[in-house]
Amino acid sequence: MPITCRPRHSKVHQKAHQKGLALIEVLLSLGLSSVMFLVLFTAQSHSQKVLMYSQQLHYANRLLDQVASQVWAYPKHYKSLVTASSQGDISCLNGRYCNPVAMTQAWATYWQLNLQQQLPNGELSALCNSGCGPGDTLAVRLRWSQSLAGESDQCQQGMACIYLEIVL
Amino acid sequence: MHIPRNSPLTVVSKQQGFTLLEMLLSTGLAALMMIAITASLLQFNQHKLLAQAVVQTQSQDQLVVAQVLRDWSTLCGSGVISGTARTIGLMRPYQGSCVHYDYAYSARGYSLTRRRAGGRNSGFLAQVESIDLFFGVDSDKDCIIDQWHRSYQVSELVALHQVRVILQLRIPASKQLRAGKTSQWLWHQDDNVVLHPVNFIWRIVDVCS
Repeated sequence: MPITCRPRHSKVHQKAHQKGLALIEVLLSLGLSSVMFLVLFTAQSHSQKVLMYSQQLHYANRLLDQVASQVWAYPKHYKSLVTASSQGDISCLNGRYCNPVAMTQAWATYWQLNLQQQLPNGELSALCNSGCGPGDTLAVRLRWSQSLAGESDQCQQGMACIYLEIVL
Repeated sequence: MHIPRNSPLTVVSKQQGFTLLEMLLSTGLAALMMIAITASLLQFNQHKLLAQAVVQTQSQDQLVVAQVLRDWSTLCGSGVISGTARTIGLMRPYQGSCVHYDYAYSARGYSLTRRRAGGRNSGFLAQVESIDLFFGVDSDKDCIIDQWHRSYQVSELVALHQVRVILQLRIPASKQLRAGKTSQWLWHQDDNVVLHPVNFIWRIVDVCS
């Protein structure tokens, strides 16, 4: 009888338990690991964006503080202070004698230059409900593109807005 | 070899060792896992360093502004006496009398120092890389700033309304951040410090009253 032919009652010892991992197990564990890493990276990149947003808010607060100082210094020319202008002569802020209009335009240009570097699509504006005379309240708004910012009544989705109310 | 006719056949089902394909696959997978783990650890570390630097930058910024404005908030006598781009002298109340204080930048100690008349220099602000002062004055007595000077001397002809303070703070940060996404930060050429600009305006109140 050739060796390849098994006898009818011969005992063949086969292992019931497979050693090692099946392909499906390996694929599942790899898939799960990938999902885990993806979640971690997403969370981290979101957290990094939040940090950058916090930097932007910090800068924006400082800027509004400067705007407030100049609104108090030039209450009659507050509009020139918040109107984006390329006509302002920055040398007014560095020694040159300038009248109030030129000085406020210089400030507006100076802030505009800084805004472009720090806040994407940054825009300053002023809202005055009443006549903006002495004792009235002027609201200065600063807004810029920021995907993390939530929508509000006066600020659309994807834009961050902060306000400062100044009593003239 | 002789096999007895009635002896059972034994099939060896257990393979000893690994095939080349298994070895290659497992090595490749292990390498991938190691790369992913190392990358995430590096990323976590980078993120932690960035968060630390950002928090430190903002807190230092706020502290410095608050400290300067608080120190200069109460003036007496002639108020601000003199100033240059790196120094300012003013009159402040001290134990019931009006005393002259000098503030000056010390490049050697990277600090802003304060000295009371007749006293010694003491550290006022630490970790300052540079300071620039601009003096907003009214030269035609209409109560509106018309010039920003790099120096100032008290006189009847001009009234000082505002002082623009431009500081550069030295914020210690890991050099690992230099290569990261925060490359827009201004780094010191030699030291591992970020140079953080702080701009603020000191408004001298009641100038025109």
